[in-house]
Amino acid sequence: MTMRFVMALALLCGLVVVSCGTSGSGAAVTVLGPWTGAEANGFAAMFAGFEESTGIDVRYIGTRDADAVLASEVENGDPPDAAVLSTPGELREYAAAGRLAPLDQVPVQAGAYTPGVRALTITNGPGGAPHPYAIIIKAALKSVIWYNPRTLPPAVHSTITAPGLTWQRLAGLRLTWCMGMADTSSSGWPGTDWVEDLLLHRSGPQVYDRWVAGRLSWTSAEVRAAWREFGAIAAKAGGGDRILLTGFGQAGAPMFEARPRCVLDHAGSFITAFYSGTPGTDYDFVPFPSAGRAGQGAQEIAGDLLGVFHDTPTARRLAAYLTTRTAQEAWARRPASGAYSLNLQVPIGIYPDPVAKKIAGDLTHAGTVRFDGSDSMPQTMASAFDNAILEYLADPGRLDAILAALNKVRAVAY
Amino acid sequence: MVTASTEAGSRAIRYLQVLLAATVGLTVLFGVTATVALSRGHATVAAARDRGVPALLGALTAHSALSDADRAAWTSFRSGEVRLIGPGPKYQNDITTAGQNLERLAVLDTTGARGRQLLQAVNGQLVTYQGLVEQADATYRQGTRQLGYTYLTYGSTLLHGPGGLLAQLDQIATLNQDELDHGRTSVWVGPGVPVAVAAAATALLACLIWAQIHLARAFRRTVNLALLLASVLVAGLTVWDVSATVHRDRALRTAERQALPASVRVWRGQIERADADAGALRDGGSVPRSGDRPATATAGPTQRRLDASLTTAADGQGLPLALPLVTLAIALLACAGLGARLTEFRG
Repeated sequence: MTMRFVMALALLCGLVVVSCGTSGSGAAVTVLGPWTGAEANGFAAMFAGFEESTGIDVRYIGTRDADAVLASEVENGDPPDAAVLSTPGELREYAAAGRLAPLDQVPVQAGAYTPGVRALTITNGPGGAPHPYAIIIKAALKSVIWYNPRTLPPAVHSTITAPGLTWQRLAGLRLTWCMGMADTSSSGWPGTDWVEDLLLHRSGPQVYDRWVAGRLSWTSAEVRAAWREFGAIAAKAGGGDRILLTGFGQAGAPMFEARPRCVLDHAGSFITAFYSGTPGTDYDFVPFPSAGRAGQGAQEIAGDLLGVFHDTPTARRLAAYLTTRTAQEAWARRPASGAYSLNLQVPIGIYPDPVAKKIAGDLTHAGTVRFDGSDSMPQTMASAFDNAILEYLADPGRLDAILAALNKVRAVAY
Repeated sequence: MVTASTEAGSRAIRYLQVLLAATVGLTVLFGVTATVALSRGHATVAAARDRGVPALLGALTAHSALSDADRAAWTSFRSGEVRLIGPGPKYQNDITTAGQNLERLAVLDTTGARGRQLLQAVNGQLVTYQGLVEQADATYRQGTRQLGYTYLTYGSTLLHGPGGLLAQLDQIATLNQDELDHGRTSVWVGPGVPVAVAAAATALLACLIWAQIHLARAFRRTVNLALLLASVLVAGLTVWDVSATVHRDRALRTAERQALPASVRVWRGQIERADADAGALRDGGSVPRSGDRPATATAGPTQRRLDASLTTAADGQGLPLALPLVTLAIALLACAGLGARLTEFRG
């Protein structure tokens, strides 16, 4: 009797202890990306439907310095399941090093993307064989010049919106440009966009392609002319320190002041996420005008890619979901998001305002399209390009030395 | 007559057996309750002392060291020392301190996957920050001073900007604070625990007293010494256990509600001062006078008070050893006291 009582008590205690120790956890996928604040909310809207339909938790870490953080995590052998890669250069290097999982098995709806767009995600793996290694999260039109219709003098407004506007005509106007180069570890890239657009629209896509591929010298006449033209615009924007220390997102803010301190802002379509006011009323854009016959109708674009570092079913399912019309629409339809989809199934009607619709139309129907040059260069070259822009703005008199140094980097980077 | 006497004897034996089983059972219940309460309470205290508090302070120390590194780098640039010593030894020491604390955070691993991701992001950004300071140094020495300041500004922005390195460190600190808050609300360090132990002890004591009374009535034994001793041990052990638990919980509350916030305030104060100095230097201000006390010296007294409170809370006061031994003694004395009567009755 005594023994039975003690055993029952022990069993009861055992049950209590066991019941106190139970716990459970669901599937999750970690994603690293560069978006914070409103942009992070836009990305969260993209995968919200995925979480809801699958029950898989997407753990997103957003930092403006995602490239450097990713490099460090990959180096430590502990990358996230998936990460947003801001350049095809990064994609190429991670794929070639065998860090990324090929995404041949990720289903993408037929006809959702043009072959040209799909080609942006294909690169060589460690064995040299080409595979799709990424999906495109969103795209941006980079050859864009922004203005505020409320404050722009009517005469200037009619000039820049007139058909057949040329770069020479635009550059000849006595206007102050908005400009800012600061962006933590990759400061300088807004200047690279300037040089790229000037080269593309002055010398045409063939010259541009040779330069991006490392087959055209940085000291060539075409490249030097683009730099000089950029330097002239920077001087109009106030030059040196002010430009160097202004964040790229804040550069256009003076356009919206009662007495605007600058009136034109060269920035990608994503910049609307930093603008305040009503699209079409407070801000509008004109495409970057051609500076010569060779560059007529050319457009520069950029895109954010998602690569998978841990080849798990959950990561693949997320990648597949993010290519769908539902996911692509979720971010693009948000007001002032600056996010555009290259998915052909996403109708232009979903974009929230006339300016966004116009950009989406330009992206879809652009004639000659080139991907952002520095984004397509090897990372070492791109990084040197960023720094060279800063050095040039700090001391424009050193252009020859800077271009010669870039040529030295070119010799080893490709 | 003989049958009636035998039946009465059997009933008395059964009653004694039930009494013995109940006493042993309640002793086991008391022992289990007190032991589980003691070990889980101790585990909660140990988690706070060995992991939660060091992780929170580690995140703050790293933040403070990096804010100080930023100030040191700006001081070196503005004073012109950069030409000879780069960002300077103070900057190097601060970076080392920050790195050590980040490593410590990684080892403690108190905040799960979210904390690990944040920590990796912080480590990545730290490398970028150091790269920008090195670039600033190199550019400055090459003669383009203004570009040197520009790179240093980029570094400062990387530290202090929205979503920057220090904001992510603060998120890690917040996660650790949440973990500590969660531990503070644990039932194992709440007022229910001493009440539960006292309730189990009261039930056991009542059983022992009832056994004493029953034996006195049925067998005309005034005092059963073994049961009396067992009762005294139960009462003594309960007073010891409850007072130690109350003392421990009070020390833990002092640590978490007074000493820890005081330490946090000291670190926050140092961070604010370093950030203000660095901000003034960025804006072209003059170099602050030297002789600022090092962070550890200022944080010392509050840190010692915190350590003392946590050490007190973690002190088991001999209970981990005494509890099982005294409980065993109580069970043996109960068996001896009631067993002797059973043997006597059967004989």
